[in-house]
Amino acid sequence: MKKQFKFLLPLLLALTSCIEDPQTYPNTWQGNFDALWNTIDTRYCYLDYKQINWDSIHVVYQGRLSSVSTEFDFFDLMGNMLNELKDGHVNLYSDFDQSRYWNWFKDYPSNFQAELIYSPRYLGSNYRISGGIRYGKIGGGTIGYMYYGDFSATFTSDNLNYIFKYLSDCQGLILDVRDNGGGYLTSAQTLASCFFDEKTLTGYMTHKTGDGHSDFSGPLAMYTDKTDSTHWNKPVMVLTNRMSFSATNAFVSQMKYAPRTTIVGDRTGGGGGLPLSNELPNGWLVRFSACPMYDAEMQQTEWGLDPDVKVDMSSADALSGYDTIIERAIALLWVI
Amino acid sequence: MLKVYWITLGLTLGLFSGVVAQQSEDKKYLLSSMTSQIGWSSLELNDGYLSDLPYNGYGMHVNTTLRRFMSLENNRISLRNDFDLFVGAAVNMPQTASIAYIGGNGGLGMQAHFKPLKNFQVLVGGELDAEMGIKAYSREVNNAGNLDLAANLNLAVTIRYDLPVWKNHVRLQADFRSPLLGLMFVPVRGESYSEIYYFQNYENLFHLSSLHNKYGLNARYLIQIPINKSFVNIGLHSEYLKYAANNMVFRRKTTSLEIGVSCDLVLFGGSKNRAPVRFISSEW
Repeated sequence: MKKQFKFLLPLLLALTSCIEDPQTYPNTWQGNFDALWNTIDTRYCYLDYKQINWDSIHVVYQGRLSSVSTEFDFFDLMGNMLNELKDGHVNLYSDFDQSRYWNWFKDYPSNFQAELIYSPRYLGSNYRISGGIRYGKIGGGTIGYMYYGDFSATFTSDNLNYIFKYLSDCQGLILDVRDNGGGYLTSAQTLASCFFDEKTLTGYMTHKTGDGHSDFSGPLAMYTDKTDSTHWNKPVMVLTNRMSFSATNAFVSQMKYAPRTTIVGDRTGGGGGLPLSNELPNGWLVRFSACPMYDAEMQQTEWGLDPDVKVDMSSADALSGYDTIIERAIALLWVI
Repeated sequence: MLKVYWITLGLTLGLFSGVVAQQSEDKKYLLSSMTSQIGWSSLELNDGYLSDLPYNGYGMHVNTTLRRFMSLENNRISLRNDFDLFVGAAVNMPQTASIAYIGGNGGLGMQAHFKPLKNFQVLVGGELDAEMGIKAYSREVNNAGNLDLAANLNLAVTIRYDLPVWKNHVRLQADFRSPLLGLMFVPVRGESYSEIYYFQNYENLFHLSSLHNKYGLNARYLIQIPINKSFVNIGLHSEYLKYAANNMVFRRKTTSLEIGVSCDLVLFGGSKNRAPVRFISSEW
């Protein structure tokens, strides 16, 4: 018995020493800098796809660290380093600021003026609201118009049923998701499913499985199913601009495979990576893209999706109270 | 049904240490000893899925252990049931975020009783348990929570010493449980729960556990002071659990000061073990 115990105890001790603690960083500027750099290095999903040399970025920003003198400077330095990723899903959150990369829409025409869609020519002031969707009839009552500006504003199938019932005598539908910066992927999925006649492969998703830049799981197929209870079976024009981002980008990616559907407007803003988060030793939160999404042809959606019909808003039209993109969508529906 | 009856009767009686079932004079009954503890606890959490930072806080826990010999004839081996519930909250060191935690554990085990010395007992055996916990992260992100799920085979050791005091004795008891083998659920670090749910993709989520990737010690030290036929307990409980999978390390450490009671119950149930007519139940 004593012999067995002598053998067992070292074995137990040996086995229990196998769990290595994760690398920790001190709560200093250098420690926080290293923690942020390492989080992106091991967990951000687009370093290879965007051909970003993250090591050289470390060298550049490490060199600037010594010139930092205040917490605000330090935050800006870290934020600027993250902006090298050119990703709207990457943010650094502190108690006093939130870093962001907004050039994905700032460098492009806005292609949306909210006041126009509420003008008498379109929704006017007596439009209806259901589940975050504003809707009414335009084009002399022949076209249904839905404006959905936030996929975080959830809706139910009852909401959609009533909307489709109200618009049932229209010959087509304009679904405007311009300036919709995203929200819940499940809402995007639910809304898209109203326009499909059958279960359709609409994309893929992968996730990181290791620390290497190319350590990804195999692609998981995303299907958009038909919803029997809430179904729109007439032509649809989906209006997009660069601010159609994240979950909206995913919605448009699915709608490209929907029957009777045309995407009209500008290229979407992208944001094809599902974001996750981590914390730095000082408590700041970093959000980053972790799970890349692809279309059904396994093409990345991170940089956005081109419309079927490219239309930019004309400032002359806007001055006259016309939304060029809506007008083009109405014209397309009328000729179908 | 049998279980419900046992639990109902047990809990009803167990709330009051003074309520001790009477033993029949003409028939032997197996007593079930119930120890119920409640404690105020410190909490340390590391959850690699939610954050790289450690979280510290406080919580409360309750524990009930039921124990009885296997049969009237066999008083060498006892069966034990353990039920643990912990509710707590912790914040990270810079106090910029918090994690709310609720976890429970239910176990069924068996221990052999040895009495190497007078007033001294050593109980050695094993226990199967099932564990579940939910961590809710205060920040609005896609990894806003994590689930602890595990089934374990534990080594269970209990050491008792009955310290004679006047005409009675104070019991000093130390109880240890440690996971040896099991199965545990650990999410993939780069995968959100919505992805798991949407794709029903369970790859790399379930892991066999043994001492190479999971170890811990659940220890309870009690001073049991006899009052009538029961004990009032003052105790210290500590739990340390550490496990790793999918390139992440998880850790939970609690230390509690606790009080409780121990009493003996007679549990009736089923068609073979009916309560004698002089036992009046509020249930039947």
